[in-house]
Amino acid sequence: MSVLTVVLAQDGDVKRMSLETLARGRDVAQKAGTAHHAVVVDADPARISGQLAGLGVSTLFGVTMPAGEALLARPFCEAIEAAARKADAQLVLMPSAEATKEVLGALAVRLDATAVPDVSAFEWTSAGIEAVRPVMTAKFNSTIKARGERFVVTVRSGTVTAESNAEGHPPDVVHVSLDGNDASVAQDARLKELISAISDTVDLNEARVVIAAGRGVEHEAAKQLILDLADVMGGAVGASRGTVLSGMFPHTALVGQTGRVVTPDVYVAIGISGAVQHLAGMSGSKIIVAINKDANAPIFEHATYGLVGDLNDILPPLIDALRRIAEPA
Amino acid sequence: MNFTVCIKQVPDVDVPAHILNGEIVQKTPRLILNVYDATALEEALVITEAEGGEVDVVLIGPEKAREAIRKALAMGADRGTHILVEHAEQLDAHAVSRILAAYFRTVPHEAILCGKQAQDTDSGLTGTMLAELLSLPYVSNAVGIYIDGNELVVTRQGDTSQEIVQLPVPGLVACSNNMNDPRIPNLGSIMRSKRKPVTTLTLSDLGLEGDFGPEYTPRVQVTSYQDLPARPPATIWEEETPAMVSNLTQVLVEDARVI
Ligand SMILES: Cc1cc2nc3c(=O)[nH]c(=O)nc-3n(C[C@H](O)[C@H](O)[C@H](O)COP(=O)(O)OP(=O)(O)OC[C@H]3O[C@@H](n4cnc5c(N)ncnc54)[C@H](O)[C@@H]3O)c2cc1C
Ligand SMILES: Nc1ncnc2c1ncn2[C@@H]1O[C@H](COP(=O)(O)O)[C@@H](O)[C@H]1O
Repeated sequence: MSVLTVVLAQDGDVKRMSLETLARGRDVAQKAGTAHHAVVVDADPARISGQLAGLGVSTLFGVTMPAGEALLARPFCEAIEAAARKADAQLVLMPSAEATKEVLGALAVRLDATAVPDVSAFEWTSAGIEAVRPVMTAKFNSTIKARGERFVVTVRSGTVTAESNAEGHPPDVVHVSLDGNDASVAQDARLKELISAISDTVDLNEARVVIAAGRGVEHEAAKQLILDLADVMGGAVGASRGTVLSGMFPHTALVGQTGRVVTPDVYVAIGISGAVQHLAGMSGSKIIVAINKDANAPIFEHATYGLVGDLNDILPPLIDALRRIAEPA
Repeated sequence: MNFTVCIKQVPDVDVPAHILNGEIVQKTPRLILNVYDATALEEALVITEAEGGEVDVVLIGPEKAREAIRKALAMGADRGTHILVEHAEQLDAHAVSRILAAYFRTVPHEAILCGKQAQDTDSGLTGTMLAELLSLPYVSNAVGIYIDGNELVVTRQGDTSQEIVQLPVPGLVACSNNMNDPRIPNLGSIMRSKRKPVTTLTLSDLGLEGDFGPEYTPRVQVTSYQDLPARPPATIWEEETPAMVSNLTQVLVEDARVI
């Protein structure tokens, strides 16, 4: 019996949301008096181990897989399943991300586990799981009770404090190989092409600061202001649906119900009205700054600080002022 | 290629709502076709209009949910199947996916489309559970689909990349809404759709009355609803630009410490 936390890494670096989930896994296992293990699916699982020191992980199950293959549902799901069986896991914890949403339902079926998506808080007792998770496009929260023998739970980012590189031993790595003869699916999906996001920008989910552009950002000059502000604040660039559909920003930048859920320290919403579907992706940010020329825009009801005015007037002096502080002459 | 789209009727989240005694209350509740399912249907219609094939829809829900099937037929689907379950609100993804799986075991199917998630449950589980139960290859969070020979080519939006995946059929795709804008049926198509067939099935027709009848205790059950945690009160500045810029700069540097 154990708790198994799924670790997501990008090019060998454990993602912040995984450190958060690991911290949660450690605490839950400790309370239940069970072991805490982790699993990573990576081109070289051993390179992950050192980053898990101090997170109370006994064994790191490593499944060696090239990054391209791990993006496909079936191999990724099989890898986690194999580790869950090795670890005799009663509770599998994963950070809530597109990669894990892709397999959560299938994994639950394979393990005959109860799936509990996207929790912000949860308790695990002999009665099952009690958790808080969003409903109605994240307009409200619900408290749920889940029953079953085993559970797979995904944890919303930003709901636990990440702890990394604390003192302690890195976990031992146990390699898990897939038997490769999973014949349940006659013909499987194959990766045809991988389109990577521009890699010189900060990853949205990892970022402490997100500068998000909405339909109020109407032209290239305004887009440049967004990029400049992101640059001076060391932030990642986010976008609303309008600016993604117009092609001004890539799909990977989309924040919201269809896009990603981000919880940075500072979220700057620029020319964004604050539709529920957008709020669903950013309302958990610590500080929300809204810049909008319409004083009645709903975004102001959710903001920590609001500036009523034209973004084309406000951003240039703001960028200048911040630059002067960041890079004193 | 033939498509079957799994559709759900859900409350419209754009209608104002509040919490009363742990329940969500809408003054003027309105039920709609789940937007992600409308997108999935639109995609199936566009593909079959160009390449041939038929489009079926299947829905699990009470009598009232028939409206969503009618909407789908008016948009252009050829046929509907209504799995009539009056206590549908009690069903979780575990139950819904098993009922759909039982249904698909009784009918021929090629491309099955689902929405990425239901706008009321926010769960996003049914599609991948169904694929696994039917041992089908699948892709979720699709933002584009086209046909290549007898396979589908699906563009999936991942965390930091887009993956283009070759998907054999029978296979399942769970759709994001960043794929198309669902059409709004005109009066003509609404009138024509009234003649389209809708088959009604019950849980006992699928041999599932014992498993998912009114006695079913969901694996995941909501005990109460709450407002989101309150945010700190807002400070709104509506002043001359230099004053607002200086206020914000001070906040970013001193409170947020991000510079
Ligand atoms: C199922 C579903 C899922 C969805 N998922 C998402 C999602 O994940 N993410 C998402 O963002 N949306 C999503 N949407 C769309 C969402 O409902 C809104 O349509 C969208 O968020 C609006 O984007 P916006 O705020 O940029 O544009 P608008 O609503 O058009 O707002 C533009 C704002 O900019 C302001 N403005 C204009 N010019 C200026 C200026 N010069 N200076 C300052 N302010 C200015 C205006 O006052 C206005 O408030 C979804 C919708 C559905 C139905
Ligand atoms: N009652 C239902 N009837 C038919 N399809 C459904 C039903 N509930 C969910 N689905 C499908 O499963 C998808 C995901 O739903 P969910 O797992 O509840 O988020 C929806 O977008 C639909 O395509």
